[in-house]
Amino acid sequence: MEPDFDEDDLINDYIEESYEPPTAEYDVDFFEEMMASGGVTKTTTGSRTNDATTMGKQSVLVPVENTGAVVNPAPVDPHVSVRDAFEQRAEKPTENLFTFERYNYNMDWRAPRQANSPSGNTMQAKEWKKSEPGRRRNRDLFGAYDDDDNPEITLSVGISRQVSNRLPSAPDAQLLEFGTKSARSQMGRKRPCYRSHSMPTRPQVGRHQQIPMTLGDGTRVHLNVKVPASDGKLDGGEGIGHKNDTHNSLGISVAELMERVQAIRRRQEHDKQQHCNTDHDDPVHGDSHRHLGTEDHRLWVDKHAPTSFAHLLSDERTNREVVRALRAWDPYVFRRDPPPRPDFGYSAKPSDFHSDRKNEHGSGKSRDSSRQDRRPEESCRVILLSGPPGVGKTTLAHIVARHAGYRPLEVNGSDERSASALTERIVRAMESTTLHTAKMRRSVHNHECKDDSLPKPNCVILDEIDGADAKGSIQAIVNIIRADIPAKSQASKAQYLRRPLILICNNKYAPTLRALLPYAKAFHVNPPSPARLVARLRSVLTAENLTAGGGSSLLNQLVSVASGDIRSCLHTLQFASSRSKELATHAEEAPSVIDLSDSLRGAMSGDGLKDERNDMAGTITSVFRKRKDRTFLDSKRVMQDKRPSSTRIFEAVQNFGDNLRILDVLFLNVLRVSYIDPTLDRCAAAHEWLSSSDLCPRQVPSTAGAIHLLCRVEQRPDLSFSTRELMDSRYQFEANQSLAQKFAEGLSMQTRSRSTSLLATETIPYSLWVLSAGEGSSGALDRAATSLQILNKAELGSFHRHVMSLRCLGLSYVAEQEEAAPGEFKGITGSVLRLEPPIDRLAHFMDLTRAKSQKRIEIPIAMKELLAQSVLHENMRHLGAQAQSKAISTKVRSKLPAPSVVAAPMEAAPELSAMNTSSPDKREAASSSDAPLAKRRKTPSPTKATAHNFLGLQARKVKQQRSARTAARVGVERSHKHQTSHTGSGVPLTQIVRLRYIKGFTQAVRAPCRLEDLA
Amino acid sequence: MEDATAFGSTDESEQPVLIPIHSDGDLPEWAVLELNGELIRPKESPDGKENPTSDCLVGPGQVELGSVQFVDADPVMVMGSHRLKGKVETLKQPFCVLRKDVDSDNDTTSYQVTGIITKKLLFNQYPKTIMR
Repeated sequence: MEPDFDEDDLINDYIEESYEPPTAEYDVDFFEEMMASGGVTKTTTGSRTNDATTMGKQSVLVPVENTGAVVNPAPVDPHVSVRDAFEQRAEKPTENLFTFERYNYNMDWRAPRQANSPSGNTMQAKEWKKSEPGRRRNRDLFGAYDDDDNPEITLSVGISRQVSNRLPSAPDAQLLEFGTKSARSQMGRKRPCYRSHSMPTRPQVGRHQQIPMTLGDGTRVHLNVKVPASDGKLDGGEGIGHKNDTHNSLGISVAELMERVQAIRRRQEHDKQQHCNTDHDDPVHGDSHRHLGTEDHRLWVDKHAPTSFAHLLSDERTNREVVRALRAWDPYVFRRDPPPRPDFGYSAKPSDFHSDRKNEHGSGKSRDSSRQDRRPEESCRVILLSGPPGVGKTTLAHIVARHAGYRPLEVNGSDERSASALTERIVRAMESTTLHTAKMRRSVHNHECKDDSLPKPNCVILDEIDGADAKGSIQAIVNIIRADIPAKSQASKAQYLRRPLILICNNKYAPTLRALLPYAKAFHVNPPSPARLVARLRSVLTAENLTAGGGSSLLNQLVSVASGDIRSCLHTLQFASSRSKELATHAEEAPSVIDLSDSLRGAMSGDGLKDERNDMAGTITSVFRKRKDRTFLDSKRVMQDKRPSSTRIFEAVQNFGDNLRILDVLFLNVLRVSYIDPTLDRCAAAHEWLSSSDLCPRQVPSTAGAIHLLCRVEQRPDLSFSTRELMDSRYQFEANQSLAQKFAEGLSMQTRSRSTSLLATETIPYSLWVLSAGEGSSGALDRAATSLQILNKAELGSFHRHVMSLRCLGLSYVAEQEEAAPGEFKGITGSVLRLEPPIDRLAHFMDLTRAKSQKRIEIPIAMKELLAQSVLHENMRHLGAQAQSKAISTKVRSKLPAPSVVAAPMEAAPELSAMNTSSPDKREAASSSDAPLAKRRKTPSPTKATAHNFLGLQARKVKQQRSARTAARVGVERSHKHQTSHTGSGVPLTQIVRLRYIKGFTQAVRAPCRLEDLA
Repeated sequence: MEDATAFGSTDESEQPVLIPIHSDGDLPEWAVLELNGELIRPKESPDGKENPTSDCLVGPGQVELGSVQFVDADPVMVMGSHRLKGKVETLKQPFCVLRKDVDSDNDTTSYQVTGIITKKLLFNQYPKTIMR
């Protein structure tokens, strides 16, 4: 396992540059051994987080031995790693070679050459061997702090000769502030810009140690370390250790770590003696999976879940930053300072800026509010973890919370659907534990996880908040986050955030979370690197007494197939293991270590994998795309190679589920893909498949497979995955159909009997042709005439024919106001006369270009107006004639007993309307009885006999004042004296009851009725 | 009105007045036309004579009231030169239409139910004038 160095070339380069050859001899092999043993895994040096000035704290390995002496490596058990050290505490410290303080267990084995910067306040290396006070004196190099936050160690600045004259004003500056315990101690003061790049132990010059430093201008200075005269203050390693614990984020002193290492070593020795046969190659899990023999039916995911921070698989930098963000709550919850970021000398200036700004912020806060809000800033009050499923977000949250001294309390965001319920749960969780701060502090300091009796503050973990009720819940959370701490005086009940809140979601850019993002410190949890994952899987297998044969290739495949989903990997492994265990028990002799490679291979070949994603685009693209042969890049495809591609497509479509949508999209795209098909056979076959599966949607997967075989292409086809086009055309089809229906209704009964589709295909185009202006012949209506007078004879003839055909088809021209755009000037809007119903839309082909002779000439608008007027008049005349015939028939009828007037029976209504619809025999009667009237009637078309009841106005009497022109046009006889009833009964208006409308309620009179009157 | 009368008994005799009401089988359903306003009797009677009493509907001969059509289940009444849009409402209490039969021989009065009214056509909107 090679440490991953390419991540931070810059830092490493720097380290190499600034590397001072240490005089003390380090046993580098020791670290390499540790690396090899898997105890120390990936190394990340430094961090390039948003804060460019800070580096992740490096592992610091400082020789404790007298630096003048050569360090003699003690025999080291390679199976003991530092990680184990965290788990155990030894009874008493023993002789050690190294003390080290690690930040986040991120051990850089190059680190022994590079010491940490004191200003980073990470100089935790210290004397812990109290038993030999004589030797300690020289080892107390690196500072410990007393209660007053002042550096305990004074470093006298011995300026080396070369640079002495360049040192700024105070060559006699005795105290360099080394390290910042807290920003408070430095408030207002600017830190000197001296930084120690590295602090390797230098050969002692006399009684002093020298520390090389680089000044702001790049000159190098060696500092002599003056050991304080009195050892007394440094005594009591325990106390100092505890003090220092507050500074490291681990919450544990180096001494304790070493104790644990020792304890583990001892225990392992013990174990080895007892069970010589058990081979523990797994330093990570060696401890937690000791109970191997017992059959355990728990899920491996739970069983092998990381139990401590060191076991987390996710990206360590993220882990660190999450802890840091959580630790930002320390001032509020635990009343202590959070561990400062490790500081490295080379980032002097930005760091200064950073700390200054922090100070200003702090002071500003305290000035502003009487009650100091010690919570982190509003913008990072909550932590938002996002990442794909199975990368360990929830695990990370739990472990980090526990690590920082909280009790994780998980609330599933999608469980609590309503905003109020969610708020209540959060608030309750935050308030539930009363804090005994003193106890708390101790418990955190000692990192005594076993001591659960001590109350711990809750840390609410909201899982799956993107599943939470949209807007409402998120807004509720945001409200809690934003709320300030209410002053004590105003006993307001406002809920505010008292405890850290960790939110977990899959996609932090989900629209529901948009409101939350400004208030959350978002971390993206990336899937762990395949190498780490494979290593972990291997260790899990070892713990389960299993091996996956064939080297790591199989596990690598598994990891890449699961795309970093640890959960999925473990499930698959467990699934495979259950199979192979079964096989093993059936076998004659049960091997001690079961090889599950076969069953794993079987599991990965299809059944055991998680379902493929429901991805429309991916599915459709795979249908149309020919899979390339160079699949060796992708192990997933290697396995699928065995199946025919049509089977693959079939399964993919089946997995997708939405057959109808797939069908739509296939249909849309099948003509977009440019496959080679000169005879259109493939196209025809594909559409045959499509139409058959349109009838039977269950066929869609097989259709997809067939289309894949027929229409696949090599290049990535340009596909569209939206069915909108299809939906639009469906709507258009419906609209057109209703239009044709409307047209059919306007037709007479004889023509209507034909089907609508026939009408649309045969009648409408020819009617439109008939209704065109003509082909430029003599009778063409292509002049923009405004009056009938100016038309010549031929034109008049075609005009009347046109009117006739319009009426026969039940068409007319109506003015259509072009809708003005909202911003437009509305004064002049062009009005266009169009056919009503607009059947021209049905036979309008946009892209069709015809020969000029075949083109339909539009009738000019003026002419259309004339035609429309004429059609209207003709209709009115016709209806009037009908009404007259009806009137005559009613006159005949009126001799019969009429229905009661006031309370007419219901039958009266249809009867009345029946009177309006003139039947042919009535009209005949009318025409026979009123012969002159019938003569006067023009073109009585039987097709228009229906409807238009109240318009059935035969204007018998035209008022005298009506203009003669109108009268002539309408063709009304003036001779008639009286207007008839509008009901069409023909009764003169003067003989009809009139209604005088009275506004308001009906004043119905209810007259009392006496029984005597009834009798 | 005296209560006694209201209860259907005369003062002289405590005999309740029995009014036989007959009905036979299926009754035709009638409807009430409710109009907002007053009806004005036409000036001319159908036989061409001028009507002397123009404010009384009751008179000799028949007069045309109007026509009712149903357009989309809503009644539309054309009355005079007005077009009334109305609606069908169900009466809270149904009425029955009685016809009084007086048997002059026995001097008995009986009633024949000629119709049931459960619905009314309510025309309470402002009428529209029909323009030529």
